[in-house]
Amino acid sequence: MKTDERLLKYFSGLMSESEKAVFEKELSGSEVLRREADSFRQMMAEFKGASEYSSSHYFNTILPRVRERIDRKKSPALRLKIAYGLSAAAIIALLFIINPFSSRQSSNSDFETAVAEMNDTDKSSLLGEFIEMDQGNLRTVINSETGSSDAIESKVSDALFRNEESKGKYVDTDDLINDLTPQEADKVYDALLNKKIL
Amino acid sequence: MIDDKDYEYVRQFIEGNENAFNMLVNKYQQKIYWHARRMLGNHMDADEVVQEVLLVMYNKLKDFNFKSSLYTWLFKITTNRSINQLNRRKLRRFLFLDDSETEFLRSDSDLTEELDNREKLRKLDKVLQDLPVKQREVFSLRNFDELSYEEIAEITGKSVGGLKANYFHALKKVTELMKNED
Repeated sequence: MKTDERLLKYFSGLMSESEKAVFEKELSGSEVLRREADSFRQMMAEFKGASEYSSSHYFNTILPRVRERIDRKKSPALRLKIAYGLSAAAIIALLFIINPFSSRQSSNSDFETAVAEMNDTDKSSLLGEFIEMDQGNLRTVINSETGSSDAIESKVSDALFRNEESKGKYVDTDDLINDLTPQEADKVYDALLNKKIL
Repeated sequence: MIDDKDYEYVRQFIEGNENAFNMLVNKYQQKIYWHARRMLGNHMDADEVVQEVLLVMYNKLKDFNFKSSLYTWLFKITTNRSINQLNRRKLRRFLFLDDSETEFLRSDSDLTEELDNREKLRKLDKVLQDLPVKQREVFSLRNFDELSYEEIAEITGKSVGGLKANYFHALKKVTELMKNED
């Protein structure tokens, strides 16, 4: 049986004061409606009860782990620099992966060289251009260009480590996405969403 | 409304008492976890968000000026981080990084080993994940955390009228889904 919509309106606070008064009067006079309201309340209480479960074991582990992360962040400046560098690079790498021109209008190495020579303003402007682009279904392009996640990771590695000493280094794309700042991740996500590919 | 205890903890933390931060964590960690869990639908992602939120709290607490209550501020960060996590998940799926193995790990790892509780949590996660994010957000904050529409408006930046409408649609869908689950 469907729940009376007036009950939902009532519990949502969508009724005006006069509607509310009329409904409450009806509620107190109707056994059927009152039973329905009670069963609705009971259902919601049971549902709510499912997330009142508290595991003391798990909750006892949170603070030590957070403290550990705080201490780790406090110590080595080098790590922060690498993380910062990676987050900027990750945007470029993602751009590189999803840029439909990477194999059509210029060769990969041309694109990499161009990105390597860019300053931060140019990189932001590239991101801006990417967001403005309307290239239709990029997923098809990516599938046809890369084919698998291994191929994507290899492309990311190539894009990030261009100099001789770091060649062949493995880059975990999952870590790269983790290294994006929330703003960067949102920006990439929004860009993909605007293109209706997510 | 400013919670005097929160105010005191924040003041002590600013003066260098690290234990005051621990007290705040103990006070709010469950609320943060459950809000993230309801938004994200699994333990692993919720756990990651809890840690991120607490790190933000540690780093930004010195600048907190009590223009809003501490818990509203924490819910705001949790909501934003959870939405961000949902976006990352979609990015990973798009880039083929979320395979069946990680999906399995997400669903397998949980707060409890007890079958009855696991089943309740599974049902909760499933029903909430079937709601659109905007409805899930308001449903979680109002139904579970019992916040007023005004507080939710402060957290989400949306109008009270819009929130009421979203809550109404969420309630409607949840009741239908719950009946189907039974």
